[in-house]
Amino acid sequence: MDFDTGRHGSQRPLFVTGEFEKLVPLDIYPMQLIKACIVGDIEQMENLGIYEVEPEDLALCEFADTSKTEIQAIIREGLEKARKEVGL
Amino acid sequence: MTLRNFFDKLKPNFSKGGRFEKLSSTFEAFESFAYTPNTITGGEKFARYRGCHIRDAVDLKRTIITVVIALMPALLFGMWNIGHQTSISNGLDWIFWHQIWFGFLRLLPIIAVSYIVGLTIEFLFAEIRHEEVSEGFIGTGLIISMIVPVTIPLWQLALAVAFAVIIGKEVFGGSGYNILNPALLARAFLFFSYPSRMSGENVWIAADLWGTDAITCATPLGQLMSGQPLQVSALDMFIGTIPGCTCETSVVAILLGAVILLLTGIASWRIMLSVVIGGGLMGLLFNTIGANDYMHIPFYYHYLMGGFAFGCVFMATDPVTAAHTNTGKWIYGFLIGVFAVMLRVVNPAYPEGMMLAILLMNCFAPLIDHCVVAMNIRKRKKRWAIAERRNIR
Repeated sequence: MDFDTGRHGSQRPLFVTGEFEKLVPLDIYPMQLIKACIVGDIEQMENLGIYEVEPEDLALCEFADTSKTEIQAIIREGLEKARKEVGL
Repeated sequence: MTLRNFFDKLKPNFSKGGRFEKLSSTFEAFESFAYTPNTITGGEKFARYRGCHIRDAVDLKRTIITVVIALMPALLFGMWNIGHQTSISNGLDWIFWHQIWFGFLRLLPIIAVSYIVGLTIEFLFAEIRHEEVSEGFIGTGLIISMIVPVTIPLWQLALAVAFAVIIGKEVFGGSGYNILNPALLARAFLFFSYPSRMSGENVWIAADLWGTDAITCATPLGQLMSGQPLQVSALDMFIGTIPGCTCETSVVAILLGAVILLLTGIASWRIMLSVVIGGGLMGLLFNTIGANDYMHIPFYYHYLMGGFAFGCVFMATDPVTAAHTNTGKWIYGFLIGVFAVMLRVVNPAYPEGMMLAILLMNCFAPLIDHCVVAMNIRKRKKRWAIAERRNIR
């Protein structure tokens, strides 16, 4: 496969399930974590393991995502938000 | 003039400030139907973009097109079977191509109405929301036309599609946010609003092109329901040369579709397998109870009759409305199989249970997911607690 920087599609709601779990070695549910970050529910983010990941851990998911979501940016924003609210 | 030039020439009219600015979603949909969008990772905020710079080639459009390709064997077989059923029940000796042509002419208006009504509503909502048109309905529209009886009046179908797309999908925010499978919702709407056109003995066979639609012939499920012995063999049901909904009779054709879906990884093998296991176990359980004739039929007959195979391969595996977690998928699929067979055998009102079983489990899928995720959270919290205690020591 020739790689280029094309997105090969446009952004959609998270649609296909089960493709992230294959790509994350951690014992977390990536899709649910991403959704919690999108809605900004900090308690749910903490429960789903926001402190166990950093954006690059989900880089493979971002590569493979059918819906072309910007996952790393979402996780980064989630971490920033958690840091501000919890005051670490 | 090539197609590319044509799109490039029209584009300014539909972009911001253009004459048809309000139709930009429609234009985008047609353009991305013909060509891959030429956006690059990062896009306008490229300078501070922090994500992956390369992306996989798969997108929602390709996913849905793969589903449509997987539906093709069942669709083609369905076309032939419509003609075949009409010719044998009328005593006509039509040749193969005549049967296909007849089926094509009967199926074409159903597919056309389903797509035109559904896509019009989709485009309308996309324009109102200023979003891109989602591809979800390309698959849904075809599936709806494949799971209705061939004699369905087109206005009823149009109503059902409109109901399914508006109430089932758009009120929740469009494809990807819906709770219930829109194709099954359309079928359920028809089933409860116009029951006489959705089940019984008079709806399965198209009489002729312009005549009335009243040839009496019961489906295998209908025969069992009314206490008659089965008049078709298991092989007939497997190949699909039996009366039934337009395209869901042939298990062979559906299995071909299943192979395509599983090889490409589009559908979840966990759901398919667990539906089959659930249905089989329930069938065996009824064999053991054996209170009436219906309970005595071999368990694998349930796979071959009615919409079990079609529902298992194409409906239960809809990723949006199924359970999202892998453990949840096992539970979700298993219960679909169990409920489908239970509704068929025990419930006296409905001959077919697959539709209601899947819709019921669609409602419960979020709950299943919630429990699975909660278990994961609890497990990880315990792990933290242990780790913390060790650190203190």
